[in-house]
Amino acid sequence: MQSLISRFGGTPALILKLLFLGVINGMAIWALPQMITSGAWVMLLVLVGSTLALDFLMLTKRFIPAKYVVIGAILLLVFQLIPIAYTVSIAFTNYSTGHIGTKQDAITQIEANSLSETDGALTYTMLPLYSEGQEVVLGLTEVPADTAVTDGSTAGATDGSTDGSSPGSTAEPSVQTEFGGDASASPEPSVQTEFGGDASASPEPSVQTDFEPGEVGSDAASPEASLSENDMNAGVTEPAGGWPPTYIGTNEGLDLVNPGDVERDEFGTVTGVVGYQTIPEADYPSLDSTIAAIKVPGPTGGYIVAQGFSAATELSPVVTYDAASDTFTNTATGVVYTDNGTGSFANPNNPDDELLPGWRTTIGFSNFHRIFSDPDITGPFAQVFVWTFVYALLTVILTFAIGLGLAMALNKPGMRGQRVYRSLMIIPYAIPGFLSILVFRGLLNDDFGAINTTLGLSIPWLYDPNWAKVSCLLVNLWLGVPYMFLVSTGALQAIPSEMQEAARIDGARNWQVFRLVNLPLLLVALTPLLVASFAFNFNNFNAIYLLTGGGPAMDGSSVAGATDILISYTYKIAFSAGRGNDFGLASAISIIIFLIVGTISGISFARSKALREDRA
Amino acid sequence: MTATIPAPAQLAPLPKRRRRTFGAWARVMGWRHLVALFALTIALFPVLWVISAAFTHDPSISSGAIVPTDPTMENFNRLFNNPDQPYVNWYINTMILATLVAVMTVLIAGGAAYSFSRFRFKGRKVGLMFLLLVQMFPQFLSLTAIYIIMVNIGDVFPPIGLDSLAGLGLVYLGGAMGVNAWLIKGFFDTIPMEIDESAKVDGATHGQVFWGIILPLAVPVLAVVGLLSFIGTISEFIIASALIQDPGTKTLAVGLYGYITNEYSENWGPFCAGALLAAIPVVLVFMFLQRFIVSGLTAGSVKG
Repeated sequence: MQSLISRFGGTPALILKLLFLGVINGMAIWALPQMITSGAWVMLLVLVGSTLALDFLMLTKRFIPAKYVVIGAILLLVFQLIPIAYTVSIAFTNYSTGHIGTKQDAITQIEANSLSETDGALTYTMLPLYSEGQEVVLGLTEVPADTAVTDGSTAGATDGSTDGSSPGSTAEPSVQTEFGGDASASPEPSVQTEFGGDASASPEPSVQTDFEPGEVGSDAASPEASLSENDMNAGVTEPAGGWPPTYIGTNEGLDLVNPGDVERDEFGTVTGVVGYQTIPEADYPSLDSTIAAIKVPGPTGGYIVAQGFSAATELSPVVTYDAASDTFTNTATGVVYTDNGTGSFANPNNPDDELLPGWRTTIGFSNFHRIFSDPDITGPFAQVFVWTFVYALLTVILTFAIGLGLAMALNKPGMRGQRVYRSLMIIPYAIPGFLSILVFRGLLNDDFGAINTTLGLSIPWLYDPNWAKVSCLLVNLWLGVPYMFLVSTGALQAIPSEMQEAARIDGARNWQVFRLVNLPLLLVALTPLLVASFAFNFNNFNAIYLLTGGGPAMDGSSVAGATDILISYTYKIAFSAGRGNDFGLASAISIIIFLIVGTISGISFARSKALREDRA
Repeated sequence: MTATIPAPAQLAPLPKRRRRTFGAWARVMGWRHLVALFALTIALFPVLWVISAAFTHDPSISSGAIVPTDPTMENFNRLFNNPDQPYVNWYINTMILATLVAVMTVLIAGGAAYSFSRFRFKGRKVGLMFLLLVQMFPQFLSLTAIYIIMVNIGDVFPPIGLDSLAGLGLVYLGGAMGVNAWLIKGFFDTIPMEIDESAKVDGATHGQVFWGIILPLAVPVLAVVGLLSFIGTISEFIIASALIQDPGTKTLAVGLYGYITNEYSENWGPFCAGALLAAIPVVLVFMFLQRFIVSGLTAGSVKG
């Protein structure tokens, strides 16, 4: 013993401790400048606070109990408490697809989104150039109106809708997070990310810009084709009215180029500008987003924006923002959009007529209110709510009944093979749950599933709302009975046999012994476990989502399915593909789940002996 | 939360058997065997079926014979040689992640339990209650928030941000204390204080008492906590699916889910092979630690 104990102490332990602290502090110091530059103040505060607390507690001779808790406490703080607090705060906001960034981001993006080609807008042939400072600029040559490039002219004008759909299957949850129009101006990380296990999902988050590079790029072929036609028309010699003017376009504006500085090929196409370096075509793909991001203020108040790599068009905003009155005005229809107080600019006469995107703002209890008043949510929510309780209760009752029955059947002194039976019986419990559930998904397949083929049935186990519910329960029984069998066996054997014998001497029959002696004693011992099992199954996401995905879908537009329980419903609201992401609503439901489970568990814990047992 | 209920294997000693008529045997024992066999059939049918399917050419169209007529390794070959679905990576990722999380969980929860069991300090009761309360809010309920936090962390520390197993493991460890600390504390409370006091008289520090006395004596409960954490990590799906998108970084749960939701019938055979390989180590560890488990379970832990 002495030698064993002495191994845990002294110099080696000290060295290990210092090494550990050194690594942690090194990482913290390395991260500090980045946090300061990116303005991540909360994270900075947590990091500095945690590191200092860790250093102090590990090195001081005092506060011994705290030394053993500090690492767990920091992790608890960062990955449990802060997320909970954050979730609660999100529940009172409208954080959702279309309400992601700040109001300023929204204003910028509404203006950018509303850019579209107006009548008589000028088009240009474009030549990407490097300036002397190696900046990318656009060489823009006016195209006379009659030969204007028409193909792909609207390619750059993305519409205002922020669609959260992903290319993955509908089973894949997907969140698309868009922050404002200008990635670099956004105070928050501007990443587009996809949740889910889809291998086809893009592995790298891509920055979402106003003008989706891929979209422009894919259209690039057509303007080029039509341009070469224009070039042929333009002929080899200078037209009577002189060459159309050529400009250098930057974000600052248009600079007319002295006609003598423009270099042309034999077709009259501009191939270079003196003082600038023509960008080789091979470099275009890598400059895709750079070129697409250049917005040149045009002569008629709009912006000249690249369409592909060889043409550009002047686009004008359809709605314009007036900072003084904080309103948007549609220049075409004259409709005035005002801040509606819930994170959008909307037409006061028609509240559903909103400009997209909106911004993230606090909306009080609106999310909770929606659960009980919005017809699109109330109906599905009520169904899901009821099914969650039914599912969790039935699971607990049935698993306990079957598990106890099995335990009693096998709990007979002198029975042979008990040990073997018990060992085999807990195999389902030993297998990781997700594997069993996924296997059942195959076994229950109505087409090739072994259950239908072996038993000669053709039951739509997973595709009929009622059968799907039955399947969820049956699978959960398979998963849960071994656990109940184990704990019931343990509890049965803990009942002193004297009590049963005494009951028998008093004339009790088998059933009476069970009902009046065994069952009450079992329930006393196992009630906390039954409550824990209820709480667990109330949130048994895997058993539902991996088996049926919550499906089959309910009628209507809701994301909810017939077998969805609250937690899977919440998950789908937050991350469902194709329907947008409503983080605010999802967080509100999370809080409701917590209140339900917390209340049930709280009552149980208060009554359990766990707390009383603690010797103070 | 002391382990008050002993393991079944330790009790129920087999008394001497007496000679009986078959009728009496059937009435007293026979039906029990029938019930047990029936239950075992249901319990083991999917297991046997997966084992069989893993060695069958195209199990989705086969007749469902339990013993494959023409055993083949084709499913395993397909499983290992699919660059789009790197099963081997998932497997290694998951086992390393689950092992490290289990070890760290035991140490973190054990440390907290030591503190709460052996020391008396201000805020101790409140701290214990707080741990219970926090545990009632399952971590995945705040998935959105965790995701956004991980995006932010990844901007500064890419190695523990999104798409990183280390980051995922840290998130799991955020929930490591809670119930586990309670469970272990219950066991620590049953270890007589006199043992560590005598060691302290002999000059042992608090660290030496913890590492050298308390932890070795608490191996049964530590094994249970570690095992449940191990299995829980392997089975965890929601958080992993949100934080991990890179195919090569996926865990088994996320990878295999995508594997069969895409082209189910086509991937069914290799999936069964993969499920079999994934289950084997867990079941072995489980069987190995079985004697510790029943007592741990009755003390209130639920497997994921």
